[in-house]
Order: sequence, then C-alpha cells, then structure tokens
Amino acid sequence: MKKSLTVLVVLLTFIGSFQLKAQTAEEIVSTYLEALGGEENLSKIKTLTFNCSAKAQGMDIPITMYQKSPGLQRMDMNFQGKVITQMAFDGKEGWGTNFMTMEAEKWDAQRSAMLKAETDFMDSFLGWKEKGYSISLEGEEDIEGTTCYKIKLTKAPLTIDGESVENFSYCFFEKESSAMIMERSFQKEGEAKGMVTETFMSDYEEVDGYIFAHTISQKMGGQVVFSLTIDKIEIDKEFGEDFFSFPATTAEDKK
Amino acid sequence: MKLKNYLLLILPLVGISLLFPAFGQNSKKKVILKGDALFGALRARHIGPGLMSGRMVDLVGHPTDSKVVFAGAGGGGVWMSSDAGVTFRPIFDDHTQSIGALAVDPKQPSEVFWVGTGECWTRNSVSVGDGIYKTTDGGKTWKHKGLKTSERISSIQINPDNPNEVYVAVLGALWGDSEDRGIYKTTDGGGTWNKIYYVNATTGCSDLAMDPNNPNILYAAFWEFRRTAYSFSSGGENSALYKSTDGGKTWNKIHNGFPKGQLGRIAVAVAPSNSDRLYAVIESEKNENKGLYRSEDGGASWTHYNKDFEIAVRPFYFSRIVIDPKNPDIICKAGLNGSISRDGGKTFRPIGSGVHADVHDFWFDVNDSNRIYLGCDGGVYRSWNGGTVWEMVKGIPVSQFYHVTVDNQKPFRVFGGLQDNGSWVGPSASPGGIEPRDWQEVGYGDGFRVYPHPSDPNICYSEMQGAEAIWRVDLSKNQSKIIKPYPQEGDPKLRFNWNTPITTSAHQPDRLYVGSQFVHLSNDRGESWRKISPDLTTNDPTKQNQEESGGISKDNSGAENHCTIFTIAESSLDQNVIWVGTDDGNVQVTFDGGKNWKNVTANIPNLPKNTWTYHIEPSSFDKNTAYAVFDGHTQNDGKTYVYKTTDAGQTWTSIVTDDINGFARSIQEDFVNPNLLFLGTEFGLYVTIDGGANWSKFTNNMPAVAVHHVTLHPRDHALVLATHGRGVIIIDDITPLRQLTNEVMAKDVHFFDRQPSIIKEGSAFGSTATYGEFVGENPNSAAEIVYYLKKRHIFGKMKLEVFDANGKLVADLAAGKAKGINKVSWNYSYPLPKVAKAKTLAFGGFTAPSVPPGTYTVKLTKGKKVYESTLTLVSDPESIHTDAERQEGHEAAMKLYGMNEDLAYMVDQLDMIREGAEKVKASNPSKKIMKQVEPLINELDAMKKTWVVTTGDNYVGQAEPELRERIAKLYSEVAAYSGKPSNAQLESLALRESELNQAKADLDALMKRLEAINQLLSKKEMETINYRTREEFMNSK
Repeated sequence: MKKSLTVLVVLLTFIGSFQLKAQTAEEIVSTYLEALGGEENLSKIKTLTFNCSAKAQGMDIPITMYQKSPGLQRMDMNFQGKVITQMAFDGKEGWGTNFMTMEAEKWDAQRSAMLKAETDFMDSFLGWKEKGYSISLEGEEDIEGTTCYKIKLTKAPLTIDGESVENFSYCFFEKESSAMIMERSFQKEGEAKGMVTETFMSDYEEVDGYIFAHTISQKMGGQVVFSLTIDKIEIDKEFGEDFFSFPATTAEDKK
Repeated sequence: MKLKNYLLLILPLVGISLLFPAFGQNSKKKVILKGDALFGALRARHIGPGLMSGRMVDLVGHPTDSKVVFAGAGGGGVWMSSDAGVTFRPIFDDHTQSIGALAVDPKQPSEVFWVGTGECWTRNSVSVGDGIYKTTDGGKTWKHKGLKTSERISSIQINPDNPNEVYVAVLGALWGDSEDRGIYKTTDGGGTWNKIYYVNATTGCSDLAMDPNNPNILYAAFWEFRRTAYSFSSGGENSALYKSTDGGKTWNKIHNGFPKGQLGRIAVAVAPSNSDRLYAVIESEKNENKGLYRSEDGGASWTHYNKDFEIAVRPFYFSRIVIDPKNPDIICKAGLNGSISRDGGKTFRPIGSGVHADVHDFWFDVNDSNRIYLGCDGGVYRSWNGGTVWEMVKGIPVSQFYHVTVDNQKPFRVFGGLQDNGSWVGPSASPGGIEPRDWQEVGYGDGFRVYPHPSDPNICYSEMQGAEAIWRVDLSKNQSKIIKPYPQEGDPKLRFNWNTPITTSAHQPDRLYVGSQFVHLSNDRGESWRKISPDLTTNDPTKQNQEESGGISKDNSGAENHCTIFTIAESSLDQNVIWVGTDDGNVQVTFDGGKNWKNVTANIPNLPKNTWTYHIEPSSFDKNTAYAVFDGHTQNDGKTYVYKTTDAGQTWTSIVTDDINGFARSIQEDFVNPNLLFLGTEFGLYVTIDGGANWSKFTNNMPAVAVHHVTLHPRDHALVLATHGRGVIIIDDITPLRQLTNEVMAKDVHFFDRQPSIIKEGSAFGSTATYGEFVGENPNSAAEIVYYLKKRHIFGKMKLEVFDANGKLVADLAAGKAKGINKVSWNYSYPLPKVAKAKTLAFGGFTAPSVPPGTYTVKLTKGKKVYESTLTLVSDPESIHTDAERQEGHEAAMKLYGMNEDLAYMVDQLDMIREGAEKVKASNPSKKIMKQVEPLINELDAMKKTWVVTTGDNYVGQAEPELRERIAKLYSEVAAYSGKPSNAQLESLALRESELNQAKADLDALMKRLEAINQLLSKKEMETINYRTREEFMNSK
C-alpha cells in the first residue's frame, strides 16, 4: 500500500503540475525534473541498469543497458544465451561487437567524439545549465493529438566530417502533466543525415521513489522502427572498473 | 480517523479523475476530433514512381560546400542533397509544395536558407504559393516570413555583406490582377518588408539579379502576362528591364540596344566573374530581334547575339540564363532541350542527349565548373564533363499525377497520367518494394486519365493531351490502338480539354465514355462511338480563339482549349444516370442514359459563374445524391467549392467549412459510411467523418501537396491519391474511420472490428533497386490490431498481448499509446525458439514460424483495466498449398522448433553441471570424488563438442556444423516455407531426430552417473552439482 501511495503521490505531482501554470521553458523543465524525483535527488544517482526487451522486426530481444554518471554507457544484447555488447562507451571511446568474429571493435573517432560531446547520464535536462545547454520554449505543438509544450534543447555544436554542426533537439512535454512524451532529433551524420527520429516515452512508473518512463519507442516517417520495454530498473548497482572499457577479450569471454 | 486515512480514501478517486478528465462525461455529448487526434496511426505511404521524377524549377547550392545542393520542384517541394546529388531528401513537406525560388544565406550557408513559394514557369497546370519561408537550422524547421498573398516568387537575392538585407521578386498572380507584384526588401531578415518597386497590377517581377561584387546594384525584369482558362498572354508595354544602383531606392530602364515595341518575358544574369558582363534573353514581337542580348557595360548598352530556337523558345517556360561562376563566356540557357555556349553567347550547342525535355535551371559546382546540375520536367540531372553527358538522379519522386484509378488485381494496380511524363500502370505492392522496373508505360506526352478495363485485366485506356490520342492498351502484349472518337458527318470541330475526360462503366464492362463538348459513348472498347448528348458546355465563342493565344509569342499547345466537358460520372447504382461537368461551369445530368439532359448549374448557391466543374461524385448509396467540386482558381478565385445534392441536382448545399485550405479538385465518398468523405485540395488531403460538418487535414507522412484526384479501393479499403508533385500516395485500410462514431469516441478504449488478417505467403526474392533509387513503400503485410484511445497513455503500464485458443501467450507487442487510432502490427509468428548456447550463433534460430490460422485473443492491459478483443487469421487465399500441406509444414516446423529448445535445455544442463563439477574439483575433494568428477568433465566436453560448435566464428572461419547447427538450419528452411516440406527435408528431419534422441540417451546415462556423484557429495556434506529445471531455463532471458 505504501508503495502504491508513493506512486500515486508522485503521479499526482506530475498530473497536477500543470496547474502550477508553468509557462517558461525553465519552469516546464523544472516541473518535469521535480516530478521525476527532484533534481537534487536525481543527481545523487550514480548508475542505472535497465533490463529491457527490444521489439524490432518481429523479434523480442533481451537487452540490458547500463549507464554511469557522467556519460558512460553500455548495451548488451542476449542472442541464443550469448551476451553480446552491441555498444559501449567509457567516456572516451566507443566500441561494439563485430557479429562475424564476435570480437570487440572500436568505433571510428568521430562517433566516439560525438558520444563524448552529447551523451547524458539519465536525462539530458538533468543539470542542463551546468552542462552548458540552453533551452527555449518554442510554443505548443500537437504530438499525435496531444497538446504539448515544445522545448528546444541546444547543446554545444559537434564537429562532423570536419565541419561544425548545430546540435539540438525538440522535446515535447504534455501540457496537462509536463511529462515528456517525445523527443524529436535529427540524424547528424551518415546516410540518414538530416532524417528525423522521434523518440516517444510512456509508461512512467515509480522505482525507489523516482519516476522513469518504462517504454521507449522510436518512429521514423511516422512508423515505429523500434520499441523498448523496460522490465526492471536498478539504481546504483556497482560496476567493475573496466566495465565500460574496450576489452582485451570479448564480453562473452569475460563473463 | 486520521487525516492520512482520509487521504487514502480520497486520493485514488482524485487520481483517477485527474488521469481521466473526461471521467463521467456524458457519451451523448458530441465528440469532435480533429487532426492527429482523429487519424492517429493512419499513415500515408508513397509509391512514387520516381523513375521519371518531375518538374524541377530552381536549383541552388551551398557557396562553399559543393556537396550541398537544393532542388525546388514545381509541385513537389524542396529537396536537399548533402552528398553532391547522389541522394536527395525532402525538407519542406509541411508547406506548400509549389516552389518559385530558393536562396542560401551567404554568411550562414549551412543554417540559413530561404524558400520563395509559387512556381514561376507559368504553365496551365501550375500551382500557387503562399509567401516566403526561412529556416535557421539547416531546413529542420521553417518559419513563414510573410508575403502571404504573393502567389509566385521568382527570385530571392541576399546581400552577401549583410544577409539581413534581402530582395524578393514577386511575379504574383497568374489568373488575375494583383497589387502584390513587384520587388520587396527586408532589412531585418524577413521581419518586415517594404515594396520598393511596383509597375502595375498586371506586370510582375519575373527575374532579379544582384551584382555579386556590389549588392547595391540590382537588375530586375518585369513581365506583363495573364492566363485565363482559355487563353494565355505574354508581353505588353510594361514588360521591361530595370537597374538600380542604390539598393533598390531608384530604378531605371536599361533598354539601350533592345528591340522596339512590346516586350515579353525577360531573363537577366550578371557574370559572377565580371560585373560588367550581363546577359538578357528577350521575348519580343519580331522574330529577328528576339533571343540573347549581351552587355559589357553593366547594362548601359546591349548587343543582340543569338536568336536560335532553343534561346528564344517559349519564354514563359524557359527564361533562365545561368553563367559559369569562373568564366563569363560559358552560359547555360534553359529551353526545350537546353543549350550551352562557350563563346559568350555567339553560338550554342545542345546539352547532351538523354536528358528529359523542358529544362528550367542549372547550377554550377562552386569548385569545379565541369560539374553541372540541371533541373527539368524530368527531375535533376548531373554532368561531370561540362554538360556533355548527364546522369539522372533517380531518387526524387515528384511525379505530377492528374488522375488515378485502381483495378482489382492482387495486389491492386494503380493507373494514372502525369504532366509531361506519359501514362503509367504499376502495382500497389511488390516484393522488396515498388521499383522502377514494376511500372509499365501506357501512353506518352502528357498523360491524364488511365482506366483499367473493368473485367479484362490485360486492357486499359489512356490518352495524351487534348485527346490527340486515346489508346486502348493491351498490357500483356504491349500493343496499343488509337480509339478516339472523330467528328461525324455534320458535327462541328470536337473540342477536347487538355485533360480530356474518359471513364468506364460499372454496368457494361466494354463501355467507354469520352467527353468533348459532347458525351461520346462506345460499347465495344472504343471501336465505334455515338454521341449521347448535345453540346453540354456554354459554347461561348469568345473563349474559343486558342490559335491567337500566347501574346507576343504564339503559344497554342492545346492547353487552353475551353468550353469542353471535363468530368463524366456514371452512377454505380443506375447506368442511365450520368453526371457531366464542364470547364466553363456547367453541371448537367441525365436520368435516361443521355436522351434528356438537365442543366442544374443555376441551382447551385453562391457559386461564381463559369467556375470550372472539376469533379462530380455520384453517391453509391442513393442515385439522386451526388457531390460536385468546383475549382475557381483559373478565375483568380482560390476559394473551396464543394456541394452536395440529394435531389438529383435540384438543390445543392455547400459542405465546406473554414477547416479547409485551398481550392478543391476531387472528392471521394466512402463505400460504407456515407458521412465519411475525402477531399483533395491544392494544399493536401482533408477528411470528414460527419458528412462535411467538420474537416481535418491529414498529415501523417503526407506532404502539403496538391491532391488532384482521390479514389478508394472497394476491396482493400485503401485511399489512393493522385498528387500533383509527389506521385501516388496511398493510405491503406481506412476502415477505422468508418467506425468512428460518437459512441466509440466517447469510450476510453475501443477495438475496431477487423476483417480477418491474411497470413501472407510469398517469396523473399525481389528488390533490384540500387542505392539512391526511389523504391515505393509496400503496404504492411503484418496483421494489425487497431484500437482507439480517448487519451494518450503516459502513466503506468500498458501491455498488448496475444493469446491462442488455449490461452497460451503467443506475442507480447509494443502497444500504441497515441490519442486516437492506434495500429499495432503483429507478424503472426511465434517468438523465436530458444537455441542452445555455443561459441557462435546459429542463424537458423532467428526464424520464427507463423502461428496457424484461427482466432486469437488480444488483451490490452492499461493500468488495472484489461480490454479484450479477438483477431482472426486466415490462410493466404493466393496460396499454392492445400490446408493439409500447410499443416504438414507447420507440424514439421514446430517439431524442429521443439528440437531446438530440447537441445538448448540439454546444453544448459551440460553447462551448469560442468560449472558445478569444476567447483567440486576446485574444492580439493577426496581422491574418490576426483576420480569420478574428472572423467565426468571430460565426457561432458566430448558430448558438447558433438552437440554444438565450440570453435570458429560466424563467417568464413565457422566450424563444421554440429547437431545444433544441423537442426537450426533445417528448422529455418522448413519454417520459412508455408507448405509441405520436401521429402528430402522430412528424411533429414528423421535423421536429426534420431541424433537428438541419441544425445538425450547419452545425457540420461550421464545424469545417472551424476546422481551417484551427488550422493557421494551429499555424504561428505559437500555442495551437490545442480542444474536448473526446464521451466526455469525457459523463463530465463
């Protein structure tokens, strides 16, 4: 009962927050972070582990995502009992597993540099000022029929193919609750450069007093290309020293 | 009671009411949904084709990064390439797709660019713009920057020293007077505009050039022009070329050396490498002095250089000169085929062959003038050798359809005609996507209406402009015969519209109707004709002088033919009921197959006289009911006119609301719900679910493109749109819209009734398109679970699961959470089998077998509430398999599925036993125990080596397949096929089964020994060697 009450109270904070008449970008973001658990509390979290199911092209693939403050991350997939690190980033360089050899291979320097420049721990808005980001309210927009505040989140420009490229996305907060329901971002390199990706968040639920979206879906051209259902979130799980680093051996061997 | 306890009681109620603000709402209250809240997950798919692309009107590039090129289309928006033209993507889909001029900011060229809307190559079918737009983030978002009523913007010039200073040339309205014409200037980046030069309401600015070395020097061409539905006039006393040397404050004519008399359209260009060198192409009254003029003194004097056909041809369509940025003597001239001069305009050679006719613009690569881009009626082309050889960009589907029809093949085919790109037939689905090779050409010239024969799939009818030809095409033999009607004895000259109406009959399969000023009927596929009407037009002789059309350059292409029938519609309920609409505004109807006609035009309220009757849609519910769509834009009237009659035309009611933007051309009534209507307008598609009381614009993957015709597939319920700029666009399965009643919309969750879904069988082969080529999107072949949510789901869990008849969970799907209609795809497959863990992956294990046909239960869990529905799957009616064969295949696949999982668990047991045994070994046990454990480990290893691969990689270093790989490979081959496995496969299956049984026996024997060892360990009070149960294993991830 205690837990469900906590959930309800937190949800009410979310749902009721619109009545506070948050109108500026800062107020909207602050209400959102407050509803997630409060900026001060959120910033105490050091690691997050997400146990998920990825649904894509008819397959349901078990995935575990690990994040460590300030921006370290790793995503392991489980294929036929084998744990394969699809991507990892240790704060300096990114790497993944080659599916032919099942060996770890480093990403090209540009991708690593991009990750370094823009990877956030937990939520882009957490500590956005300190991180040097800027936010602006760009009015309202209906997202799939739901009226939202549209906030532009701008990070430092990236260097791509030798050129400086603006780095921003639009985040949409449901007007009624200030819950973020979608982020619209733009592919910055490669074949899909310029294409729009829309990432939808839903199924916000409480975990140890914090609120997390438990479903993340990505759409391109109005079509779902990928969906992630989070079954369990662990907070502040300890990871080994080199958990995110490029391994001398494969993830499998290590395990 | 403590306060906290009260809270416990109240909070859930408050919570629920806040979660669901509509809680307790009276469902009888009218629910009105608009936009995405109404359409939800309904989504448009684009099938092109892209093989012929479409009219490109303006090209520009980045001033320093030659990889970045922009192309503006006549009706298909703005396309951007970041890879030097290999691929282009649309960046302007939310706004009008008719483009006039593009410009890149010289100081922030990667972020800031401008789009002036409204095409300026003023052909009869040209669309309209709605002002100027600017992006400051590289095209990701756009802001409207004014000049809303300008209609056509011909040029945008930006001061390179101060990009907030921008000059815009407004050509303006084509079909009427306009005071919006002239030159506008902003000094605050588009915040405010001043009209700095204006001639009069009939003369617009058709070209504007800035001296690249002095932004205060500008050259402006003004053009007096006008189109009506029945004439075109180019030229007059007011056409002129002006120069300003003070940033647009004052303007002076610079005609020293120009021909005397009236002038028409003028193109002007300044050489980037020499500010004194100007070129102008002049439309003049006399043949001998039209063409190219050159100035060496900044326009102070001009010398006539060239009057070749390509230089002087059709000025309204081709007035564009582009100069090499490095060499003032190299110039490209737009034209029927386009031409290039390398001697400063003295002589020209045609550009290389293989380029589509009607060239409108060029762009030179900023670093290498040998690289040239060209825009024409057939898209964008690139040359690498200075314009001698060209290759086409094959990924820009901006085809301009006038009309579309569908047939009843599976998949259904679409038929339609294009502006200057012939007539085509293509499938609505094809293995790997709809590719250029899937399209068949069934007519050349300008194509318009193409109709399939109602019952003979090998026959279709097509036409070219002004009924110069009407063909009956045998699609299988690729034969065509001209079958148009000719004037019979005593007939006047037949007047056929540029876009002549043809239609077939729902009642007589060999019947064909064609409209001139008369309705012609054939009952033998066009072999013979009889007139079934008198002249149904106004037959106004003042509108029939097309041979005088063109103004100072004669231009009688047939595009201005007038007082013609434009639409013929036979009622699907009664073949004697035929509706006819004419381009001069008549609506006529017969109820006796043409014996008597009634002109009901006067009964239509508030419709300006002679407004073009574009489309009449007889209702399929009642023969006295019909819809009529009128297009007034050729009378300079952009209003929307859509009317409905329920009494055979005696009275008409407008069904237009303020929701609709743009003049309309076509309406389609649903075949099931008479209140569901689809309307194509100049700026997109509009839908009403309440008979026209409210309209919503459809935007999901649907650009704001002109929709010239709308049709609905009666079997597949797919809405098919002929867009005039983005090819054919399809919205599959509109059935949820039919079911959106007020009662449904008041519910929190509602599952829509679905027709049984087909378990599609088909080859995986297909797709030959190469990178960069446009490939049309296929319809979703998965089963769809479709439901309505009153409110977006944000908080708490939401699950969507599918159960079989035995209540077994067969799919756990990602639920759609959007307000409105949600569509969730299920590929009607079981989850992937558990496959034994090994050194490498068994790729055969990534196959999921289809579930059998039957009825499945769908459960949507939203918080604590569970909503249920059913989903019926049926076998593919096109299948080559019998039910028994399919069943045999399914059983074999499922047997192998089980074998994969059996072996997976066996290997899991081995691995866990080995882990336990190693632990025992490491615990320094007695010799007696060691003597038993060590051989056990060796035996485990030996056994495992024959069960799964333990070496190698996933590519050419792979090991010889072991039992796992053999089972998985056979499994994938059997499961991927829908019918009976081959005898060889069945034999192989028996062999694999016996191998697996042997492995099971070996494991059983090993288990017995393990039992003995465990007893020994227990006696010594040591930890026994354990493994998990099968259930535990199956539930693990």
